[in-house]
Amino acid sequence: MSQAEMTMRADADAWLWMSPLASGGAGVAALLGVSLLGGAGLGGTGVQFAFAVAAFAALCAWGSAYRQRAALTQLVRQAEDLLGQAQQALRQQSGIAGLEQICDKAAPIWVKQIETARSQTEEGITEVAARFGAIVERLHASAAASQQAAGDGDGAEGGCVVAVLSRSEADLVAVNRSMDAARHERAAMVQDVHKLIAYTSDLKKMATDVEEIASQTNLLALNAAIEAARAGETGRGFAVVADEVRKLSTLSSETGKKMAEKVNVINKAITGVIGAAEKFSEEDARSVAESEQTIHRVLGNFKEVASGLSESSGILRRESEGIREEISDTLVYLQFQDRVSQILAHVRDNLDGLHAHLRQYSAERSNGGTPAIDANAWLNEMALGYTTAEQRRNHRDDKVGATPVEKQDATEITFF
Amino acid sequence: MPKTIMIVDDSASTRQLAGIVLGAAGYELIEACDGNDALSKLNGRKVNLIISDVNMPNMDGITFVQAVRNLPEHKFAPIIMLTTGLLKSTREQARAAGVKAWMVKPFGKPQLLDMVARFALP
Repeated sequence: MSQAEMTMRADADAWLWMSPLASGGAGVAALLGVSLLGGAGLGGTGVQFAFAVAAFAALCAWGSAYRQRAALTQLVRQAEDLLGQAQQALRQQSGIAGLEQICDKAAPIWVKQIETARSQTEEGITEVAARFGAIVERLHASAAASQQAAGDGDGAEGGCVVAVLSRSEADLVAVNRSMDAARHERAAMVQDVHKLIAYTSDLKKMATDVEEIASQTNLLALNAAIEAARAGETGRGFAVVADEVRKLSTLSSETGKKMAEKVNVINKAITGVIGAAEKFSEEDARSVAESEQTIHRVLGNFKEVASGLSESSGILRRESEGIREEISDTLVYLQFQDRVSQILAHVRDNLDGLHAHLRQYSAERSNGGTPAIDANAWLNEMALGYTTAEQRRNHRDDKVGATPVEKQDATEITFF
Repeated sequence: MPKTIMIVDDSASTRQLAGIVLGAAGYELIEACDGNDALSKLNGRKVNLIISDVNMPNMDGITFVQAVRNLPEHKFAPIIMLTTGLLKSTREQARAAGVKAWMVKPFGKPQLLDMVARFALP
């Protein structure tokens, strides 16, 4: 019973025993006055006395009525206060019941909302990470392909521009050298042919010598024939021999002439060949020089293009690597999701627990019990489940709003 | 032949992030979402290092480490815990189970690579 109720009850009790007393006193006085009036025949002094008693009785009755009215007014005021308190208590009871209902209905909804937010974040971050991961892979692949195509990296094998260019240059230079070598061989051959001219001169002189010898022999044969004729019959045989020698000398002379003619022909032919060979040699030399220049010019152009390609490929590769590193570093920051997820999961579980607790509380109250809630025990139990530093900080700090998250520059590592 | 790293974490995004970092460094990765999943994927496979979370559904990280220690072929497998957890008691359990190191998330890329290079079996 409240203090106000107790006070009111005590006042009411006082009224209950005072009221009959006051009423009874007034009644007795009035009865006595009337009785005296009834006996008025007794004389004037008696009448006066009776009036005095009646007046006293009326005064007593008025006083009693006045007190009664004051007590009633106070009682009504107290009753109104009591009614107000009762209504307030009723409102409070109704409020608590409403709050219980809200918690009962809202807690599962909050749990679902938190879980939805948590799972959506998880899915979103996972998807983002997967996409970025794919971009990183593609950048890596394209940088590698570009590097291989340009052939400016370590271990560049066939197929790359620079390698092809280098091989082509070597092949073309080899062809040019081969052509130059052939030209030099031909020049050596011409020199050899040149030497033949000296031999043909010798041959020509030898043919002249043969002709000279033939002429001398013919002269000797003629003298021998003259001497044979002078000897007469005995010189007849010698004359035949001299005649044969003369014939042989004539033949030798003709052979010598023919040899000289042939040597002249050969000489002309050799001179012609040498002339032609020298002309070709000059043209070959010019051709080799021109082809060498052309090869160098073409290779120079190719080198320029390849160098540009290689340079742009290098830039592409470096940029790709840079972007890959950037994305890779950025992705590491997505780890916040794991912490957020754990915090939300913990809040979700706490809400779930609170909901179950409230249900148990309501059930006990419905059964007429007066269950007690130990808020500190509840909070301590809640704190046991914390896994992150920020959860603990938030729990410790009773300021409104979340405590700011401390920036963590280095991973905390404990070696065992 | 690339080294094989097993990452055990219920957070798909963490597994992916670790995969991207380690994959770019040339490691091969086996992903598992909890202790049970990891044990089934370990079956007979050689791994050079195991990185495990602590708070996971179905089988938590500490139970998983203790289970790995009971597998003859993985008895001495190096294990690193990668977690948001701060509880000293859990950390002590991990130490007792033979864990090499305890890393608190979020991990830094160089630190993760350094730890893998330091503890992965040849």
